[in-house]
Amino acid sequence: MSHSKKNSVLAKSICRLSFLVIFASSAPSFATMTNEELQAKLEQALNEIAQLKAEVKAQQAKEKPPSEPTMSTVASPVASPEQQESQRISVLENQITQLSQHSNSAADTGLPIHGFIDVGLAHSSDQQPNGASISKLDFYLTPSIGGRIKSLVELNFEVSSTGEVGTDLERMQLGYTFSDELTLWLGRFHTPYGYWNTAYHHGAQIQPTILRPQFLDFEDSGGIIPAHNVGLWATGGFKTSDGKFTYDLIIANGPRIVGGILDPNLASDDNHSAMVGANIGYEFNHTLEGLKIGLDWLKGDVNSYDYTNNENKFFNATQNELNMLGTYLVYLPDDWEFLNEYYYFNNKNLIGGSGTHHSWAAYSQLGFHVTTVWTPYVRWEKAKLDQSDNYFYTQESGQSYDRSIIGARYDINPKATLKFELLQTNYNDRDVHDDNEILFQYAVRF
Amino acid sequence: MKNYPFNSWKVLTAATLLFILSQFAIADVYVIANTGGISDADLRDIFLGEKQFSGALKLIPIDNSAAQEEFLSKVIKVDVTKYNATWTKKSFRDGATPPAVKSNDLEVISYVKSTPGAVAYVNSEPKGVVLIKKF
Repeated sequence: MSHSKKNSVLAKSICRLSFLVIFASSAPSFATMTNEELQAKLEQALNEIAQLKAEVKAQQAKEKPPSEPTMSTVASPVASPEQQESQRISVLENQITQLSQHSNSAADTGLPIHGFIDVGLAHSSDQQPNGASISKLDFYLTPSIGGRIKSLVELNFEVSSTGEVGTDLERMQLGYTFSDELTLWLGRFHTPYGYWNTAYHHGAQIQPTILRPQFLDFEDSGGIIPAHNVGLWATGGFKTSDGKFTYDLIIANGPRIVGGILDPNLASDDNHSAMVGANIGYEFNHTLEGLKIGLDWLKGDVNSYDYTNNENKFFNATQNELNMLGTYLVYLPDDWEFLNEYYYFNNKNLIGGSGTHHSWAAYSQLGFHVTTVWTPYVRWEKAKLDQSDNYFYTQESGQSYDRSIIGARYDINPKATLKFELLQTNYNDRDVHDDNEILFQYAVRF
Repeated sequence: MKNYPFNSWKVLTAATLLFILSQFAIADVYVIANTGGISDADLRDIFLGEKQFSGALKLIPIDNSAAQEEFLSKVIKVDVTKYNATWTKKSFRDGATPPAVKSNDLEVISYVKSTPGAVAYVNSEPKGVVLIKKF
């Protein structure tokens, strides 16, 4: 290579290097740039480095055949222009790496907000609301606090049947992960019984149907089992060769019943008697991947309060012991959805001398993915609740019923879903009209 | 008329074939970590949030958008849609944070080198990090 041509290549390289040095040394000013802009500049710089490296390599190859290394190059106390260039490139690489890390740390400091929205249409044969409705806007946050510390907040804005917007801190839990086998949470969480209650929460888009099974619904929507609790929750799992044992243990305030509705006792316990619960499950792997079976148990005193003539005060009407034993089997392979839960109640009325009462509730649901986007499904559910049990009698929705559902789900994309359902509900032991409903839901997550 | 050594149609056909074949070429995936002691049998659990610790060390899985498709297909055995859906549910249910996403091999290697517990994957042969397995 002629001297002038060599100088020209070097001059060109140095010009590019100057640009890169200016770019890299101005890193602090990138704090105000967006990640996309940083990323674009980073990629541009990386391309420049790759080109420079190639040019230097080509130049070195032409000047120094690999078989004859010159001692002068190795021993020279003054670095050649090529070595200086290589050193500069190395420095630049480090600076680019630092820039990349700066970009990453900027991303880490942000808190992504995720959530669910659902709107719908309804037509009912009874006095239920008809027409269009906005249903829920549900936000959830998982702020990253540190290595072993976990946090989860779920804030829900829900429109009631009377059209008022209610706000609820559905979950607010802080946790510490000791190991893969134990995470301890403190706060308000979804009570870990069965499968449904801790699988779908308030996320309409990931829930396979429009409605939850009625007896498993949330407290303010007609549920008869405490879906939320405030207290301590230990959870984890142990791997085996064929699957994984999972467990949940809770000790919590437990709810009370006020005006016919379960109230989760957010601020403190009203009866100084903790609610305790456990859920033990097994998740299969290999040929039975998607299958989970389990047993759960929940026990605690639940007082029922009734209003006096003065609506701001209420009195303790009954004291009840909730004692629930449940079992579940869920099979969710790629093509099928098969969910089953059964609960047996052995409740005691602690005052009044009516003794022990037995009730049960169950559902079974089957869905099939006929294509990647279409999933028709059916569900049957039934609750046979003893009306001489004050735990159920004092609840507005504590009546026996059976319900059949047929529906279909259409996934517009992984984040947007349409659902259509026909429901028939028969109420058995209270003066409540049977009901036929047609429901449509449009649900998204973000 | 000038005679060319190759028939232009043959050259065009060969180029087209090469282009088509290059679309089906699947790159190698190198799974790397900051420290040893991680088995390739644990990778699925690590990247799906089921395994968070190696002894007392908190594991930090990192996704590489430039190699994600090959990695998920070869190692985790799911597609990107299912992987993202799994993490949405896991995050919503358990408060777990999905793996951070880096955009290229250089970023990934730089992060893994400097972060104890980091586990990631790249398309190019890595240096200065622990290679768990090449897929």
